Amino acid sequence: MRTTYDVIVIGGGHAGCEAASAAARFGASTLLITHKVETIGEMSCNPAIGGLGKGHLVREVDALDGLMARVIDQAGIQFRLLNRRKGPAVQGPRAQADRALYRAAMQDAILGCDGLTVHAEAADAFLISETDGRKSVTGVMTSSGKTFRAGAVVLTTGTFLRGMIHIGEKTIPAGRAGEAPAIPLAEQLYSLGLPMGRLKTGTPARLHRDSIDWSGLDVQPGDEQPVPFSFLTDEITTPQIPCHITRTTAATHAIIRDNLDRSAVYGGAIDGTGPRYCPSIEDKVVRFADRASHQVFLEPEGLDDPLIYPNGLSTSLPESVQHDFLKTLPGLENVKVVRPGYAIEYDYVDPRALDHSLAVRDLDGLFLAGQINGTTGYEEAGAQGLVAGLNAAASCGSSAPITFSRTDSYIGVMIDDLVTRGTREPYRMFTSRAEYRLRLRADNADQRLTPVALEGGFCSHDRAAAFHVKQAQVSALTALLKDRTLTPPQARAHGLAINQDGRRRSGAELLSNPTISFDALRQIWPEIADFDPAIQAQVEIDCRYSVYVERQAADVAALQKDKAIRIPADFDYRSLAGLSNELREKLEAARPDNLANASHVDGMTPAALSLILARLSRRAA
Amino acid sequence: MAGSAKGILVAGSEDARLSAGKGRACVSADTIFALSSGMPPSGVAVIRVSGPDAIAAVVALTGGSPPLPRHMALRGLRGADGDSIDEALVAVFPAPGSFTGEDCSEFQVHGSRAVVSALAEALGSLGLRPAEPGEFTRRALRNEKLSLTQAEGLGDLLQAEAKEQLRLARQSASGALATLYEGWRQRILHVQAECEAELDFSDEDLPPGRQDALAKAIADLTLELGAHGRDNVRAERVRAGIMVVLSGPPNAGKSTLLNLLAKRDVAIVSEEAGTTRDILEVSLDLAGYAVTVVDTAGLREASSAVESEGIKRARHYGEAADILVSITAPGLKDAVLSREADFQLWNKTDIAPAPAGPWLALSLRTGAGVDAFLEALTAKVARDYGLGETVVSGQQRHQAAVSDAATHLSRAKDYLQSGSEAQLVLVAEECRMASMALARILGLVDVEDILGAIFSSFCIGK
Repeated sequence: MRTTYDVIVIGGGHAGCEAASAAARFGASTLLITHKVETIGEMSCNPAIGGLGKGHLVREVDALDGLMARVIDQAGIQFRLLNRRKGPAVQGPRAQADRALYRAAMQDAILGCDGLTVHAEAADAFLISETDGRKSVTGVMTSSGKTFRAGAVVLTTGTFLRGMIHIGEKTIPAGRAGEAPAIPLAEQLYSLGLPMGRLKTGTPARLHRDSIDWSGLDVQPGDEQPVPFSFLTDEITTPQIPCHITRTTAATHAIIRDNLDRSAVYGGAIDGTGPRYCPSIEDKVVRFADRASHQVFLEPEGLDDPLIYPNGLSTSLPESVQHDFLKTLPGLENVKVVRPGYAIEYDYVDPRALDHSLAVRDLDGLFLAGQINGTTGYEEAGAQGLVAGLNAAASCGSSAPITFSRTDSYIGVMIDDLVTRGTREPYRMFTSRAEYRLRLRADNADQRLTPVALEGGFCSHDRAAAFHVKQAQVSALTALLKDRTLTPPQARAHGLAINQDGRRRSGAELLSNPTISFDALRQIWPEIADFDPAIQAQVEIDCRYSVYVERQAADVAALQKDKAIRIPADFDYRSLAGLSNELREKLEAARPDNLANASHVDGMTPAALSLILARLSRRAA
Repeated sequence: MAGSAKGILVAGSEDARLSAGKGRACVSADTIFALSSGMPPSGVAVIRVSGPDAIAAVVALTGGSPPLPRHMALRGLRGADGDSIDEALVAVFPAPGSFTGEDCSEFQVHGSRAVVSALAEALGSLGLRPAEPGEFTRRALRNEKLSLTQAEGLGDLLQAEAKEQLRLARQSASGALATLYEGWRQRILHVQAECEAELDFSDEDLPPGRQDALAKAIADLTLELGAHGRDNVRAERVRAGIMVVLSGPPNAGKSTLLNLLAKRDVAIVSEEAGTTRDILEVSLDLAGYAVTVVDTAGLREASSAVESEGIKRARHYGEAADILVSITAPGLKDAVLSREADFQLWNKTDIAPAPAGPWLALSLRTGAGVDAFLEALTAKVARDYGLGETVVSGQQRHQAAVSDAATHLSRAKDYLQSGSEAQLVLVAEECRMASMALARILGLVDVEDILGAIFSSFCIGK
């Protein structure tokens, strides 16, 4: 049996799968170590992919030739483009998944990946060597005592680190329901001195499909024309089914209020910090006492799967109480609970211990991705896995790190948020986290990021070919719209309402006016219609936001300039005269590595920045 | 939140492709200006400009080619509307031979508030912006224009600047200004949070009917920021002196009134009509307000060229007056002014009583009614220009940021009024820029602030 690889990935969840396949695509010989092959690609919480912000991440993973988008395109049973009416920058694809189909598609992708080997066993310990006082991870020992050596290890343990499930007064040490937690690894991580914290999250009960009275419930259908996630998917062929909606009632709230002291979260059994955006039903009833009712989506876990996921009812109340309150929801009067909901507490590593390539700063050869970094969600995990896998592979081959910035991607926003600010609740992506979201759209993820994959040599031929064709068409139509112009009187003759200011405007400029429709331009210049409708839509969006995108580009340029001014790690703030003690302490703690980051240290003043600059220019001289 | 780094533009620390080329001049994208001399009024005020448009600004304002580099030249400055601003000594310093290492220019003008603010306005209308504190120095440092010794001495210099800023801030509003701006910023954040909730949590059952509240919140903010801008202008008038213009037909008693107000002889007072041909001013303290009373030539058909010029100027002053006082007397024709007078005085009640009408009757000779007029004038000044507890800012940087924020908010309002959901993301973007404009005065915005506002206001999460 082979025992030496370039990269070892621990964990076969969403982060692990993307990490392993990305490392292999990059050309590294890769070993994926996971408990069981059968749980590779398991969706342990809500069986859905995408959403607002999250859908952007999936498109970006796809643009970088990752797996997730193609897998959900095979496994999705209800596709919806969210925010369809709210402008392309904030539209996010979402799909309900058949869990079995998703697992199967992901397992196919992993087991069929060139250069990737899977070993099914628990990883118990890192092999660590020390040179000149600096430690590095050189391999992994499994629970049976086998050792594997590698140039770099990616750890993607999800909630397996000292996981503790709470159901009412009951506590069960576990990673996921029915699976053992990875305690030895957690203890070794502690012994390595990594800064750690504790988080909590929750999941609702799973209900049996046949025990629900569907007749009176609102139906939420999927889109008639499902929009695929992957830029390579032409059509969704999996059968599509609807979800249903029910609501909590006054009786539900009364039962929950009466049993609050028995909730693990409210009874004080849990001290980890939970997410604000995914509160338990206890939380909702307490914090929003004025709301008479909360909406609950009844989401099927698969085409043939009898389980129903009641989205919106995450809880840590005792099993009997869960059953009692569930019965008060319309349609659930005779509900059968297959598995109770629970809260889970787990350890995470403070991601400020990582750099932008997701490498642990103080320990060579170790990369972390996914929930272990304090995030929540398959999409956040997958995107980090991809970045960690690429960089683990790059580090073995002595290639330069492949990093992303806030100005090019949601991936960049997420990693920058994590490694520079850390997180105290499970971190989830939102479009509002991306200050450049008018540029960073789901529709143009390929244009933003596929060139990175091409340049890095980890893009498949198929994707490269499809990208070049699309890019050529986008460029041609953009050039056409910039070339065709109208004078204001001509525009008026065509029925377009613009200022009669004598300024000739191009088709592209006309589109930046929200009152002018693309249809109107197609009538004026019929040659536009020669282009593929998808290309037309893409170029239209680009033109619509062009004014804002250009303004943001100016912000980005200013940011890049300040980022180019590097502050050495050993910069001596102590000897800077004129810096307040408070600010000095903050700077010493944050150790910003360039001027842009320094300017965002809390309490920073222009005068203090100038002091740092003055010292830097003196050092350079 | 856990992180100590704040700011909506929190930057990534990566990007190995870019590195600072040593010795290479960094050209800024925008052009900045600032008053580099002391606060006016002063003999001379120096306004410095740095950036790619510094020399083009000289061309635009002087209407001719720039002077030879590093040579002073006397040039007339005109604003965008063609109005003369001042005669100035102008110099240009092309890059890299300048203080900042960029193209620079310098205007030495007469050191009055009016001239300085007219010039600032003209530069602003060319697309230049007021410099942030320390920005010139920062640019100079970036382009390595400061020597080692200068850099060593910089610590002291910058600290002095900070103290001065602090002193100025205390002086202007003892923190009240910051409170005002922070209050607005918080309200903008809430508007932004409302939009973001609609965008990021559209799948949740958010309470309906919030669109109207959103529109009202934005409209209120737009109004308040606009009013603040006008208050600042009023404050500027109070500082510069409120102009009370006396106007009326010849021989009505304008000069007598001026003398009476000034309690000294400033105008030539005679019974011969048309004596006052020039404009005479007297500054006085009216219940704590600096007031400049202007006596104008009597309005009538001019009998000489000089008098005709005086009348033309009188009309001009009448238009520009903060408070216009018209005077007439028995037997005189009412002269027509193109704007309604604030006070209509009927002089010489010792000769004939005032006819029916809105007259404030008095006799400048006997003094009857003069006190009542003064009382009414004082009351009007206090009413129109009293800022009371209103917080105002005289700082141009603040004014520029507030007007920037107001512009973005009014665009946000327009997008919202369009009623199209697709524009909501642009409403959010304009709000983001408005709050960033205010944040430039105060500190920085953090996206966590917005998420915090969302989560505290709505029940989010399934």
